[in-house]
Amino acid sequence: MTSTILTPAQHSGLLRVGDVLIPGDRQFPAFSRSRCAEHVDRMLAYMNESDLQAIKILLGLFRYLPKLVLRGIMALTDQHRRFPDAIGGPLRMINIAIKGLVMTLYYSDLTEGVSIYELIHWDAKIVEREPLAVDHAPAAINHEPLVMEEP
Amino acid sequence: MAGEQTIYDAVIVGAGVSGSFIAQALTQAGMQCLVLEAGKDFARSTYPRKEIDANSQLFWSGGIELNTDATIGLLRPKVVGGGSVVNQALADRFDDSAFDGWRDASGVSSLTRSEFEPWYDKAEREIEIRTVPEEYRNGNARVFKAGFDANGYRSALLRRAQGDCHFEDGNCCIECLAGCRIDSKQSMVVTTLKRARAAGLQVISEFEAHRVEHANGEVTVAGVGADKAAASYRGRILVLASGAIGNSRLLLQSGFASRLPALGHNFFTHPQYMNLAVYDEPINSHRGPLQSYKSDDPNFRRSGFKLENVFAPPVAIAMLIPGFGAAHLRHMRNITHLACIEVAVRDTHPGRIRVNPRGGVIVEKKLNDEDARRRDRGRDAIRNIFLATGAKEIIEGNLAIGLHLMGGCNMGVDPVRSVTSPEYRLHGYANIYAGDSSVFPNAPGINPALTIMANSLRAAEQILKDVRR
Repeated sequence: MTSTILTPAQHSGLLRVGDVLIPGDRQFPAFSRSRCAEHVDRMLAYMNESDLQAIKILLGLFRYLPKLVLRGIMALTDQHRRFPDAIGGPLRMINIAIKGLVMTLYYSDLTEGVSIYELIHWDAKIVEREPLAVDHAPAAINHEPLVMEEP
Repeated sequence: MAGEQTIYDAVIVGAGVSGSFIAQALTQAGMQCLVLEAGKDFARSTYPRKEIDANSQLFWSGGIELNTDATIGLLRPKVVGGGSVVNQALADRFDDSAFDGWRDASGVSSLTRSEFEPWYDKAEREIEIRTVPEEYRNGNARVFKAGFDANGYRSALLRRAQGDCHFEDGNCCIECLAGCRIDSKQSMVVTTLKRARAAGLQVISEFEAHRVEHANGEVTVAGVGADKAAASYRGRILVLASGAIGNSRLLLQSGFASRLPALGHNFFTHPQYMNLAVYDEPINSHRGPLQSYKSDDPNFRRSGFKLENVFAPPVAIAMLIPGFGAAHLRHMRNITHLACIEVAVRDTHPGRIRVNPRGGVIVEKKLNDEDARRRDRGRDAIRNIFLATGAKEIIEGNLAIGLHLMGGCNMGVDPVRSVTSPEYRLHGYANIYAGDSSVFPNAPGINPALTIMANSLRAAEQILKDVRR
């Protein structure tokens, strides 16, 4: 555990809910086995304090829940549209927060030993040629100064 | 409190599209200007490479902000260059319908297409605009075009603010959603802002403005800098250019609502729903130019929506696919077999921006029945397109994305129902201006970037006239 933001219990909760969302298979590593959660501070450090506190509470709770219950909670949040806004709204927030955390870590290609990008055949690239010779922005196309005439 | 004794001719809050255009105009006219920007100042060699870092470091609140009922995810850029760094570089002019709607909502008779045409011309001289050549359009674009043709829908090529993307090298624009690494995208960082800096503009990044004070004909902007130390900056005029939420938040926190009762109201987002389809053969939507086509169908326009061929990086696609576990992984495993079309709603029901006692943003925004009907008509058309092109499964996105954040400081003639005057000054304040998307009177239903540029040039002319008076 390398997070300086999550407690060990909260980190353990992240691994547990991560494995519910991404259990893996013969080809794809499970969330916890991918070790992508070691990078969680790269997300959490930029969150609003109120959002961060809410996530820490959830993860702390998840540490102690059986996986079957965790699976039930995430399935319930996935059904948010079946509920009126007073219930559906909080369910959506939990779903987006937890799924966002787990999916961001897993699909940012941070995993150890195996590249998720390679497994999903994601080969987007940019070929960076030599740096431009000019230091300043070139004149715009048909650029004319924007200085206004004196009235 | 740390700060400077310098009194700038203009302090501009926000280094996005509007702030950069106005900064260039004022600086080139000889004014001493300072731009304050909350985000970091990246260059093509330093833009984040991983999606986790791009989301965290280029947007407010670590990537996404939610409205109060979590039905809309708001993506609010936080970076020098603003939306022009992270957007998909579309550059459309508004049509008569958009300006008619603006005049009706604002009572401002000068908001016409003929009035804006010269400003569009000027804006387009500041950036390069191209369409994607046929030989480089990707599989997602081919699905879009074939589906439109099969259904008799009209499409058009998207105009993109880009230079030479060197598609012959196999470059993929989806990589540049986190900042263009070959400086082809015509972001403000490589165009107007760069020219303004060359003309003497000072930019302070990682400065979060918290309060505006207006006294004795001067404006002071107080906030916190990169070193977490409080600082303030003074100017003879203030230009608000931090967008619908940024401007509203700053003014609300500073107590302006008592004199501007419409502040934070009339907020629109063009809610966008991405819809995916699964095909037997690879589509490779992530390769090459990210977007090539848009809908250009008069029936769609009348019905209040538009369609675009889009895609997103893996994390965003993973969030769009419902469920989890093995079923979710099955779709992610076949991400290269997915096509995507987005419906963007011209929303009619305004939202409201508030600020809580801790300075946090609260966004109240819902779709009313009419907006939901517009979304559903768009989804019907998308379903027709996917089915006509052999899709095996269709996945409808349910989380709306709000990228076009407009209003909150809407322009109008009535100081009770609007915030900004037709002369781009806040009602009742002679030296506080706004010309960005926050002044939009309502949702135009067209990508706003080019109009923000044109509007900002028009605002800059007004500022220069006022300064010389």
